[in-house]
Amino acid sequence: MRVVFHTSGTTGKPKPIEADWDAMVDSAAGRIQLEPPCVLCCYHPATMAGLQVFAYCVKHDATLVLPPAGAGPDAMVQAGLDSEVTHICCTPSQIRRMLMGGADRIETIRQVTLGGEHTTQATIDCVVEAWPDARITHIYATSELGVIASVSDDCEGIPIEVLFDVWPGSYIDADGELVLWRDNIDAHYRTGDLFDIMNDRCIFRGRKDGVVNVAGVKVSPEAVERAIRERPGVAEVSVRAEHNWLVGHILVAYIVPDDNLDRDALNEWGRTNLPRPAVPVLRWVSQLPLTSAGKAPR
Amino acid sequence: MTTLDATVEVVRRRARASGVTPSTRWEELDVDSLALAAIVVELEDVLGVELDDDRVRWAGVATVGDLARLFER
Repeated sequence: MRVVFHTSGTTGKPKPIEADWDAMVDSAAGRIQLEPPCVLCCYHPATMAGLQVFAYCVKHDATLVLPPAGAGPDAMVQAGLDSEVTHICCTPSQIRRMLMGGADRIETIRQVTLGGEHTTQATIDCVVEAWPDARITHIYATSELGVIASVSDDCEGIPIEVLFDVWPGSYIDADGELVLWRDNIDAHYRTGDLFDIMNDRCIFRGRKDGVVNVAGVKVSPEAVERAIRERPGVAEVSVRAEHNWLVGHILVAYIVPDDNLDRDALNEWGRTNLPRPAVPVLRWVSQLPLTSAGKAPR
Repeated sequence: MTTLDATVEVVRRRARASGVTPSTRWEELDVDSLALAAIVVELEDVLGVELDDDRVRWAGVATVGDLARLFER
């Protein structure tokens, strides 16, 4: 069955998209068929992702657990504990927050499906550590095309052969943007997402429209954020570009430190390892806000 | 800590320089526009003041003391 939705994705004006209903629904929870699943959906049910999880549960006779509206990570963890959920569907930002709140106490987890944002290796490692026997799936999707790739090998990025076997005729252009070939309409689709190829995998670098000019140099806040997230003692980080009268933009990193963070060492690491325009001003916070879609704000 | 003290401290740390005084000029510290932008953002955080772009743009901030006075207004 083909369906048409109007969705805005993360931001922007609503636009119509056409999708195969069964493919869309099955992708929502990582295509796992454990019975009977009990799914903790951390997405708002009115979002595209939330709707997909809802439909998946209906189709597979699963129990759907929705945390209370506006629930923080602690309430989500509690909902998971109370209902003994077997699946969690959420963004990487949400799972990191939940793990900080003791989500590993939910011993019944068999599947974690992450989508809506890029999933870093550090995030995957944390989930594996919390639930060593669970299957972890991270999904790369666009609003227009739905799920592009679904990966469950505990590694960051998409294997090249997976991406280009499923999407023949697609390529990564000279700027690093992924361009997909849409067989059904004989046309290329520019994803706006930038990738690096490393160890035969496509690693998300950031949004093309997220690149900012700092003192005449193009800088990707998301790439800087990814680098900082790998540093020891960084529990959470969000790097944003702020308008600046002197240099166009300047990067500011909002960091939630854990007990082991050496702030001077992190400053020194930035000065030594990042290109100078990419060195952010550091702001220390106790918690990062998430958007209503459960994503880090940009 | 006064605004001037805070400014001197942030500049000293950011520029990794000792002997910073209110009359020290940016070129003496090798502080370019990128470094100055970072100093201003950090000072805004420390002092809890957000500078208006236009005010900074036309203020003629040539020394450490000039910057401190900008935050005092």
